[in-house]
Amino acid sequence: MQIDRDVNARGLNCPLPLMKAQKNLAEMQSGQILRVTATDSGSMRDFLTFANESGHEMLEQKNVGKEYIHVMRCR
Amino acid sequence: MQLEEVLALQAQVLWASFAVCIAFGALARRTDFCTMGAISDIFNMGSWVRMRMWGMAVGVAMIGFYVMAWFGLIYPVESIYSSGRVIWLSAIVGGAMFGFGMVLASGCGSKTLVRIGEGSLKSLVVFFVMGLAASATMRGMTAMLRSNTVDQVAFNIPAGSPVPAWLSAMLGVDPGATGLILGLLVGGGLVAWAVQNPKFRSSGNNLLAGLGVGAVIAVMWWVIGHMAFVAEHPDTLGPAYVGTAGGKMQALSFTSPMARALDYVVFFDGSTPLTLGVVAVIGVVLGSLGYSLYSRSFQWEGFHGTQDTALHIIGAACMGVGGVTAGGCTVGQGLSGLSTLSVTSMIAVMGIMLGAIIGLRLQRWLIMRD
Repeated sequence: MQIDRDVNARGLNCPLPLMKAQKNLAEMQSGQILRVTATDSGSMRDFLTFANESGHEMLEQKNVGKEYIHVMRCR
Repeated sequence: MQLEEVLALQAQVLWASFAVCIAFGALARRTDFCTMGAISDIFNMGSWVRMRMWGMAVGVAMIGFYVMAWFGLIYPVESIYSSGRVIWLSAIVGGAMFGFGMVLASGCGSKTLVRIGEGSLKSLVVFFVMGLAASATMRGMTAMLRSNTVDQVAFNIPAGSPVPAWLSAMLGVDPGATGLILGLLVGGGLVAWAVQNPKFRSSGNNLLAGLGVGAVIAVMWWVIGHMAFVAEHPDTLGPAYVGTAGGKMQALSFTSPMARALDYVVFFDGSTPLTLGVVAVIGVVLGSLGYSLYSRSFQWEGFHGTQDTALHIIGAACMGVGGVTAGGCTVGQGLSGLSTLSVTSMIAVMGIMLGAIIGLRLQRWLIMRD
């Protein structure tokens, strides 16, 4: 999977990782792929809800060690 | 009742409160129950699911409060929310400060304690700063500022701040029946508003949070309002609610308890009595810690950088000053106060929401500027 933007949201708490993702998605073209790496466990819920509400497609969510990785396709 | 019996009862009350607060900490950790998160979800993505969780918790607590009052187990007029002096400016200004602060500090007072149990050293710093600011606003420099300014502006409701109290006085009807009817109508309405939403119902976690947190508040009303009641305290010869700092009927709150917890540590002389607030603070941290260890989600967390540190410290100070000024936090004025249908609590909650929106706008501006 080709990642078009990689956002580092490590060390940021809710809702900052999501706000960073929103800012980047607003600047991206439809179909492009965004990856956000966060360390806030609450981001799992936040990003899933955001995908359901916004129409951006959630491609992958995973927990690797202390990090939470969210991969989304821009609508 | 003899002094020995009162002391034994006090120990039982504090152990019961401790157990309830452990349950609250574990529940909030498991379900992501978070007032700031609920407002943020609406602000950032238009999702009301977590706000429904919060509304359901208020509804369940309200039904519990007024049903217990109807059966004579507790007396609403004795609660700390029943005062007829509505310090509306303090509630709105303090509430706004608290709401603004909780956004910058990654959560309100209860969330701060939950996050300490998850391993957040950021939240430990927030706890110390918030407790210190709360202490200063209870009896120090900011207390003078508070009492000489916003606390001077008030209006009086002779029958008391809770809606059933003044409505029954206005209509000349029984306050107990009015409380039960309003409690069931408004509380039931909030529960119905939450569960009628398919997205809310789709997750058992949402139902667990709404029911569980509401039940925690209702149980705390029973523990303090019924179990802790002593008709004639041997020290004062008057009625008292043992285990509380002021001897009055209350449920859960977290701003002034943080100050009292710090005081307990700093001024401990070997015979300093424990109070509800202190055990509540310890209980929530331990409940969250227990769940974090059980779910293998415990994780140390530190500050991200200078801006992150500064924002958390500013947020913590705002929460400490604002929480005391408003007469409570998202749990004190929010869940506990709203469950009594207190007008002051409603004003404070509006202030908290207003402040949170200002805080979220600031955060968005900072993100956009980067």
